[in-house]
Amino acid sequence: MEPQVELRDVAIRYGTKTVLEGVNIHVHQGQFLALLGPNGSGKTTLLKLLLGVLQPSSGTVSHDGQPARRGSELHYGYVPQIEDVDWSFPATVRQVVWMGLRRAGFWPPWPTRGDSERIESILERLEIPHLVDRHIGELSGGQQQRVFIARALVSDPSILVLDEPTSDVDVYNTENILHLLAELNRTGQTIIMSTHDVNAAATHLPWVVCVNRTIVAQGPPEAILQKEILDRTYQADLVVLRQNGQVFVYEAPHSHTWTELHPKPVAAHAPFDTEAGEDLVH
Amino acid sequence: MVGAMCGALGVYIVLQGMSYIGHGLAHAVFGGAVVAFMARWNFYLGAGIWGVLSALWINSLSRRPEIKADAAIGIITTASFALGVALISRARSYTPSVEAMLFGNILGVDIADLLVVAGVLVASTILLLVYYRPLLFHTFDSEVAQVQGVPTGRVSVVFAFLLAAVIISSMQVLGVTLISAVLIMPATIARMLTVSFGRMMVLSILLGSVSAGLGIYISFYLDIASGASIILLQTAVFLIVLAWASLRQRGLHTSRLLKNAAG
Repeated sequence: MEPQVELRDVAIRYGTKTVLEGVNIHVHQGQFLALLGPNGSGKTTLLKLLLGVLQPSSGTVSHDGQPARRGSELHYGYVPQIEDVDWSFPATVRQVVWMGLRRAGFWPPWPTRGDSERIESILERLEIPHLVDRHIGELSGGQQQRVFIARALVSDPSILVLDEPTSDVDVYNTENILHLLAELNRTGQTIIMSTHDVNAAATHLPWVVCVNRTIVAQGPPEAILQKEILDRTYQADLVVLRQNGQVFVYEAPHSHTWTELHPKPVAAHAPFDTEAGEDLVH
Repeated sequence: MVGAMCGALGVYIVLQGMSYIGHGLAHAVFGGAVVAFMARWNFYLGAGIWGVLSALWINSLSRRPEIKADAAIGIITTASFALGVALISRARSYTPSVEAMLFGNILGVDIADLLVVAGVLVASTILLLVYYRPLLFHTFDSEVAQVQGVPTGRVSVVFAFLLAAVIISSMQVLGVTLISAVLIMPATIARMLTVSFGRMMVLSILLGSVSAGLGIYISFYLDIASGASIILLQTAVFLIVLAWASLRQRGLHTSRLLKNAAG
């Protein structure tokens, strides 16, 4: 079967600066794939290549075996990073989800009965029907993510793409969002997301692509989350622990301790520039 | 009519954070208007072509990653305005019609001008209704709108055309130097009064048209420029709403503190 999306030997360059090169990825119907890498590794650029927002400097992007072009059958639902959004924008949850509907034309300029039913059904599916008339700025981080996922899903996209959906949300909401995405994937939804949270990828995601300017490695987390691969991806000394079939990754402690780096720390409530402050420390 | 058109377009301008575009485009159009005036062409033809080309050029320049929108507006519009000033100073004939272009003069409006304003009002109402949803999505989040099937390029071009047409048709009443305030002020006041996009649009149109009508009456009785009178009236409303919003915010803050203290 042809992959839904295929990137073959793709590179992106801005002048003499190479942002990504040697990228080969194929995404099949129903796959759940996470792009994993540190900030600035090219994950968002790679997502924008997949979405068609950026064009490759070299290499090819194909949809269902055909060169990618505007107006193809394949269409995306996109959830951007929530910190890029203007949350003071005067819009309710209903209006935001309505924006995402694909319709044959632009008329009428208000939600039809069919639109409203569709909006309510998608909010029901994401368990936030009670938020429908709330202003988007009043919502919590987790609720905002759900509203944006609803906007992306409202037109039954071929592929759901999420840029760092778990950044800027707490542990509880991270769990909830990843659980929700797993549920959506179970119904056949193809999902591509980016994340720098290696432990979330290890615990929840079935296929991981490590990115740092190129594809470092890709495969299921138990095969990919190896020290050597992660060190190359994050350019850091990481410790990988395996326990009861689960993988945990954390940064190796530095050779210098905190007190070596800060031999005279200022005590809490210590007055500035007085010897009394030093007395409090010692 | 001018107040309603500016009120409606102002909502999109304010929410896109591009308040400077009205100011800039009005100055750019001035260059074209002076060229048309000197060459004895039709004002609307000269200013219209010039305005639309400036708007499209700003739009295409601001898409380049190395040039931000404010820089693109600044470069094109000040260059165009400078050309207009250079031509006037060369001709040394600072006539009342040029003064009307700069500061607005309701008494200089004839039936042809009124027909142009009415035509632009009808066209902009139809286009704003047809493009309501894509323009809303494009204003809120242009990149996602593009990914999810909104023809953002076409939407930007339509909006640039509309803005140029509204500015040119409003120039006789409001003047180049004051037009941007009438674009921004009603939408900003409306934004302070509501968190709903639809209500913001209705309020902005109402504020724009009522203040324009009252402002023209005031300008007639006080014998001052119509543009200045409309803007001074809108500024008064802005200051009242600002004071009310500040008091309301302080009241909410105090009641929250009392509630926390009681809880």
